[in-house]
Amino acid sequence: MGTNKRKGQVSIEFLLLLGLAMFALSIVLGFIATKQRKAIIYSNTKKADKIADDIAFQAEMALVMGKGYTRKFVLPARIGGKPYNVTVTQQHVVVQWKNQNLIQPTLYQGRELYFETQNQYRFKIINNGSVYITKP
Amino acid sequence: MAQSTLQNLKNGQVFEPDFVASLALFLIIIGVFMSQWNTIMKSKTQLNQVKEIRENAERTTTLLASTPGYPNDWDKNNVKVVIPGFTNKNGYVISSKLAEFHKLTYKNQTDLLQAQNFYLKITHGGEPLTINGKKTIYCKKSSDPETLIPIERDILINQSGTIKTGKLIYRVYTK
Repeated sequence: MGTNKRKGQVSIEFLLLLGLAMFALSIVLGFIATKQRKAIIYSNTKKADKIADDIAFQAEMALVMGKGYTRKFVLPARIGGKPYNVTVTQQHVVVQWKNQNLIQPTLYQGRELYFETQNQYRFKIINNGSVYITKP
Repeated sequence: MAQSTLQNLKNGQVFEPDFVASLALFLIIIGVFMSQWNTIMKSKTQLNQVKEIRENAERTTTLLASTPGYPNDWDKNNVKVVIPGFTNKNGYVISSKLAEFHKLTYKNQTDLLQAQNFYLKITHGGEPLTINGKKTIYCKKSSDPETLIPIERDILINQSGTIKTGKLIYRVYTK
């Protein structure tokens, strides 16, 4: 009878220990998941930031170099695994992906530029009196 | 029976020192991991900020040293500069644009260069170029700069028909 009680005590201790371990693990996993999500958001934002800087520079160069200027350029095809679109308006570059967007200033002034990377990541910027972005 | 039950409970290990010690060790390891993660993310963020400022500074100097700006004739009277550039269409830095840039207010200059604390100088033979009696130094330096990003470009200067070699020195300060 005493032996049975010891076995019963061991199983209770085991269950208690397992429960505590699972509880601790759930806290750790929750923490890691939160940090990882923040790191992914940060990485996507930095990528969009770089894309916006590149586009701003391309638009400014096309404007200052004047009529007859063309240049081909390549952009990352996706942000966070999804295609994105870029709009260049008066003095702003807007990059939109998933349900997020990023706005960067630019000195470009002129016709509004818009393009998507749905099936395309190579583009050409042209100044034929007005600035356009097209497929190469 | 009650006594033997109590003895059996005493053999239980849930609240024994070794469990408490293992729990403490686990929490220490988690704490170290969290601290390392935060340190790495912080240093990565700072590096990216400096890298971004450097890339912007390089783009600015490309526009200044290699393009005429927009409109191309922004050094003429009553023409508002949208994008600064110091060259003519042949790629020579011209003194009229340097002089015109001098006339802009500090706020205009920082808006055009997209930099709050900067130092911009045009030199010839190691000395600042002088135009209309003024040295071609444009700056607003932070009194206690944290980071300095220097960019230099070799340029050709057309001053009153004379072609000179020179340098465009551009520094951006953070903080």
